[in-house]
Amino acid sequence: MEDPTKLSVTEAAVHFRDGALKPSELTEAYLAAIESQNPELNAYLDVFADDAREAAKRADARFAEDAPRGPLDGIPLAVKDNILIAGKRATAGSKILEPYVASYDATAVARLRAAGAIFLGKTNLDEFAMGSSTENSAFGPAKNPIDPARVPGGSSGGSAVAVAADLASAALGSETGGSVRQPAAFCGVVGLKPTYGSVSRSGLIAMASSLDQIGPFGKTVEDVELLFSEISGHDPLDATTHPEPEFRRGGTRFGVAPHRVDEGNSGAGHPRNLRIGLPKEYFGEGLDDRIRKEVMRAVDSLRVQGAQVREVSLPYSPYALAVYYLVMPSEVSANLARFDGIRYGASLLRETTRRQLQHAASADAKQRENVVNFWDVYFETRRKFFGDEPKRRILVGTFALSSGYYDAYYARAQKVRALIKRDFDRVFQEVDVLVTPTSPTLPFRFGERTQDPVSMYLADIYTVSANIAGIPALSVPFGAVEDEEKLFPVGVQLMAQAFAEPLLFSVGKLLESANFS
Amino acid sequence: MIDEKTVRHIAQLARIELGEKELSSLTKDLQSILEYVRKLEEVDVSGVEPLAHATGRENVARDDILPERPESPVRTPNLQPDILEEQAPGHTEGEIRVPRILG
Repeated sequence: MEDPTKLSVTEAAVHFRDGALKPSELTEAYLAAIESQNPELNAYLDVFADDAREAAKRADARFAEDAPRGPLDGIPLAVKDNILIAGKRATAGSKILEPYVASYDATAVARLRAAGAIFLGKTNLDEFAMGSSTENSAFGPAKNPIDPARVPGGSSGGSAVAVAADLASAALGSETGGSVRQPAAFCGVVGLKPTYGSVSRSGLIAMASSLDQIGPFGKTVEDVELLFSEISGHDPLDATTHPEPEFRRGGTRFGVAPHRVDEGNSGAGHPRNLRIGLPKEYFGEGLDDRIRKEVMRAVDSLRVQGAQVREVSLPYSPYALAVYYLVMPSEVSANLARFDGIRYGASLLRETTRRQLQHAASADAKQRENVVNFWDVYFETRRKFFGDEPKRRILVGTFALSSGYYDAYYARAQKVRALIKRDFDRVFQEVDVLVTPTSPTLPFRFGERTQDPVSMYLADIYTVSANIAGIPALSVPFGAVEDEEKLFPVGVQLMAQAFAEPLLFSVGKLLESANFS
Repeated sequence: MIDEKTVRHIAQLARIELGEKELSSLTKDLQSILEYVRKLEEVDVSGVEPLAHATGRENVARDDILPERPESPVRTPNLQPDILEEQAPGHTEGEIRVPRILG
């Protein structure tokens, strides 16, 4: 057999069933690959070798008894370090959570665990998911396996690298403004941002609650579809998730494919009935011509199969990034208030407790005065352990929500948000799926965008609209651009209306087939 | 539009201590970010309702009944007191210690 680390999830599942490969062998192969390559790539912050081996042995036994739990049984996965796994450290890429051990599984993790999946470890990310390159990680950046002098994208950079460098079968990341799709594009793998409310946020360390979603990475569209099918669904622990029947609607003229994958049903779409829209605002200035060319080749590959293609317009697109960088920091300022050094995480208290306890009980009045008060704990803990980007965003958000500024900033942004969603609602009356580039540029080099925060924010310009409108979007690699003697696959972004993931997967598979021929 | 005095005030609201150099550099960053988002002033938002939940859910509530079985069909709650206690920075035997608030 070829190198098992290169297998997709569905390929591995077939080999497990045939007895040609055991789950423990696959897990061992990934652990070896991680040991060899992670020191350079820094994709993983934590590796669970012992736990993974034990879980793999249990999976072996289930296959030996011909009683596997399903298509994900025995499959080794990487999980972004802002998603909780019970009993394991969760840092969110930040010093402020360096000592934190999660007390429960995220619902998405619990679902995968119940399906028999194996967790290899936690992956690197920009601190609190804030960034587009992993350069904001407090534990050093991850590196793009195609060219280690370049960024893998972010914030879910570590997960993208784990899949691209064959350090896991597939991975979980999270999306707030493109943090699964953009690194997927930069690393040449598939990444999904699900419809808002389709995957539980319980156990995802919150960044911006009206935007956050956990999203899967995979080597193929089918793998991503499988993972999405397993992790999605209503969750009583997350009141923003949708009730089950919503998923069945599918939302397109293609009819409803059950959103849970049936074995053997490839779900290929019907290109002749497909109406594709190219929003002109995504093909203008700032887009690398070489990327434009590959995206158009992808569109042509659908056109020759009979799809209708037309130009459309989303006139409020130019405001999407501004909306995002007001709404998101506002929600961040509320969500990061919990990191105050009292209940968990790094804290002034950890360093001073013993001394403080002595002083507080001291007979000497002066000593009692020197006891650290709660202001110090809040102010100093947050000063010392938050990185620059969280501080920036907390301050922007605090300002935007503060008295006298709320209406002009946050409230206004939420209104423009409604207009952006309206653009999509209107356009999806005319077309079924939108095709755009995922990123306007090829992966940039380390340090290129860290001096000016806004230059980094512009990396998200094509991805944020989907988060703002709550619609699903898939990035699929297609073609390649050569730059400095390295070949970079191009991320093609597909967007559809809420709950139309089946359509995204169908079209994604069409592109995949065209790409391999 | 935003100066160091305002940033100092915001940092106070956000409970983050800032050194002088940090204050100066963050003020510049904030000016640059707020300058970028000013383009929203161009948009006519009259009559537009703000959008809060992207896919339309509103006011979700459950019945006020104590669930007999675990709430999530998939998860068994794992909120053991000792795990939570151990996380607290001011943790001592069986207690979570917090700084003095009154007095």
